[in-house]
Amino acid sequence: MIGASTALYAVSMAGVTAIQSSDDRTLVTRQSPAEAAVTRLRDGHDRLETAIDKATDDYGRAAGGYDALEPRLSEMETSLDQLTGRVTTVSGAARALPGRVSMPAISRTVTRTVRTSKPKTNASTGASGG
Amino acid sequence: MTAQEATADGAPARFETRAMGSPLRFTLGGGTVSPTVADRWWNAVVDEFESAEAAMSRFRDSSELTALNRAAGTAMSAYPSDRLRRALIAADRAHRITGGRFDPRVLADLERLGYRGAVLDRPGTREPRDEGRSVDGRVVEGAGRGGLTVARPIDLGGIGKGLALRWAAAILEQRGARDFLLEAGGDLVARGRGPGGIDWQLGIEDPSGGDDLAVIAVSDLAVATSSVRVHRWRVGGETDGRVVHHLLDPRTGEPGGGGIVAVTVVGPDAAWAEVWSKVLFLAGRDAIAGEARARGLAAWWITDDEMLEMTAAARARTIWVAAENGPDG
Repeated sequence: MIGASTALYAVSMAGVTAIQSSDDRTLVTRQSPAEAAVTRLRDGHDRLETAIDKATDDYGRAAGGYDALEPRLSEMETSLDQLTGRVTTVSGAARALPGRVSMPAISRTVTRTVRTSKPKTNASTGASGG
Repeated sequence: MTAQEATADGAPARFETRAMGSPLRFTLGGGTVSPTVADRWWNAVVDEFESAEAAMSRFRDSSELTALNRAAGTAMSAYPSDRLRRALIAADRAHRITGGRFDPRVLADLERLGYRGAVLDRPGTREPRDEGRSVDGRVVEGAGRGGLTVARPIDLGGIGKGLALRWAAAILEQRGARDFLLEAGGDLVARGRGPGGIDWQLGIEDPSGGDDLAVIAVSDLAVATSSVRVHRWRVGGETDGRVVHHLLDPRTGEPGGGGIVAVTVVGPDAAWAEVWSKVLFLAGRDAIAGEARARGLAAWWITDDEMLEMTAAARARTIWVAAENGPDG
């Protein structure tokens, strides 16, 4: 009797174990998509964090560049102010110039033009003693 | 003998004779001048040239220069006329300014080559030139004081003619002449305007005897030409000799100006135009352009292959060039 009971208990335990094992496999199978999603979510978060870090660094460099550029912009503004002053001076001088300039009279007689026909000569220069 | 060409038909009054071994011509330009005044001016020109020749000719036995040359190399001081003294000073200055390339002390070499003038009866003056002192030393010593001496015989041929033109032109201007052309051989002085009120138009002679190679227009300027067309002869025999000319390089004592047959220079003064024309001639074909342009000279030169070349300053005065237009225009 005891033996039969023990055997029955053992068979029952085996059955229970088998049932539990089957449930565990089912649970594991059910939970796998969620774990994959969590993994993807974690990876995406890591990439986003990296991108934010990079953007932060870029912003920092841009801000540093602007800091370095600012004095030059100030100098350029100063130069522009000076140029404006000079343009004003030149404009004033230009306004003082006469609107019309009289050109000198040009002689209408031109005697140095090389001619195509031999001009009449008054004398010749050449060998002495001739 | 002098002659005046016709003036009644409006042609310019023109006088001509010979002086200093060359034709001497006097042409009046624009403006009206009475024949009496023109004759008086011409006589003044002839008198001045006669006086210049009496002082500076190496061909006259009785000239002052011949007497001076006979005393060359001795301690005997000469007391020449004002004309010869001024001529010697001018020659000495030209010698210094040209760095010895103009040197009137080439007479011994000229005579050695057969281009003889008046006999210089001192044997010492007939010796060949000393190579080591050819371009050194002063042409004349004591020219600014009373007595002067020369170490070697002097030839004032070219510069003497230029000086005679300078002096004659000055006399004419002192007497009121404004527009005239004075010619002595190949050298000219042009003052004022020519007939028709335009600049004097002068031809540059073809050394080979053809028509003019170019025509230039000048006013208040002098023109001088150094050419070997006339004074060229053969030495050493008819068959095995060589042809020489009278333009000697003082550094060698031999005819210079390789590759050049004539050089014309225009400048304010006839004597200096003559000096520069000779210096440029002696530069030779390879160096003449650089020499002329470096000195800013208005210069024309004709090479031995009959090419006419000129400086930019000369081009500005040139109104016609045969090679660019043909001989008939």
